[in-house]
Amino acid sequence: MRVTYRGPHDRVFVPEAGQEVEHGHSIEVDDELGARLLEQEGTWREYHRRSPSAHETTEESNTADEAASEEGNA
Amino acid sequence: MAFINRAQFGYKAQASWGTAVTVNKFLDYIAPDGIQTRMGYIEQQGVRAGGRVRGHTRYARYADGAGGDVSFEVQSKGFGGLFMLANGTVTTAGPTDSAYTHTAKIDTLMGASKAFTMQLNRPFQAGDTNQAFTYGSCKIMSYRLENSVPNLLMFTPTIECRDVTTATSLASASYASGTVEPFTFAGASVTIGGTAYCPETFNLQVNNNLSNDTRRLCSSGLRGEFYEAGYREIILELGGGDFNDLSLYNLFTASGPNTLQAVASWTAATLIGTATYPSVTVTVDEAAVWEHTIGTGMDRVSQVVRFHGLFDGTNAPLSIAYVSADTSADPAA
Repeated sequence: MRVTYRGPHDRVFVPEAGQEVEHGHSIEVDDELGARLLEQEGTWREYHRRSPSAHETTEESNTADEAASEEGNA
Repeated sequence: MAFINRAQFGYKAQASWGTAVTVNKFLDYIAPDGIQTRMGYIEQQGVRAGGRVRGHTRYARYADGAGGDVSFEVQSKGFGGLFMLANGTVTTAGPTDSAYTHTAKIDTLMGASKAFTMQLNRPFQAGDTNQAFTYGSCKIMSYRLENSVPNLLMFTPTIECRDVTTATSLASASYASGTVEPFTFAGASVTIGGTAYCPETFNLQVNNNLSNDTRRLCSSGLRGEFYEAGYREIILELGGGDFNDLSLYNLFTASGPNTLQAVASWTAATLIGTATYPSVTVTVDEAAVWEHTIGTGMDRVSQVVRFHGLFDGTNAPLSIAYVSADTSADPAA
């Protein structure tokens, strides 16, 4: 599961995942940890990857998603 | 070692009294914390033949909430929410130079977002497994903000909670990362009436004067919302300043009311943007010298000055401005 950090800090470290994530960006975690993070409303949300359009690579699509997520926080 | 890598403090403001929420804000804290569960006992007083010791079923127990102190080293990220819960309101300005200023001021401590859920991990010593203690409907009854040479700025709220459960799972923590710094005595400055003053110790004590005498014949004996039962007491003590003149002493001995603005600020070491450092600024708008003690030692003459923070009818009697990269200080977000 991928989850996106939307809390008040510019970046956070998630000890259980051993990963750091910037605000508005997402990390891959196991489903059990992801479910517990998503219980923290306002801080985490599930990352929904959209399909790349015909002229986009998957990587470009993901980058656009995270940018959109940042805008959603503004 | 079970505890050191599992210690965890988290909190989140509640929408309503009596309804705990999943905590989502996590801070380093000083162990051991002082939060303990309490139980009340009611012993039956009836007497009967054949007994010199109270019968083993002749008492009842009731939940009496939990409470105690938790101490934190104030850091450059993550503290705006606690300052709000300690005082009543917070306003956020910015960003300016990538920094936000979260200013906590005295306001009502009643209603939505003024009580919070707090969770501490008490891992089992054997087995190295988590055991969360989740405290519901907590309020900061009083707090201390302290600094001295050569130490860190410390924040210690005294917390009182309506209920506690061990059935809620431990929340998954996430900690502010990147540059997260403490505030030290080396980054401190104090002014009294606009003039620099150099004490050895700073001690702000605020008593919110909340009453927890709210148990009634309902709600399974649990307390209702703690309410404001008196004026906030704001006491600022500056200790160990050199006794260089009579200015503060004269304010102490003056007959009429007279106050000065007392400001203390701490700046962390690393810029947030290009010119703005993380900082904490405490302003006691109307500080009256309430006590003045002169210490005469072989080495030097010093003074301890104790101020009471008062209200001029317009300006916030106390504010804590927290400049941080944090975008929000809303403890309910």
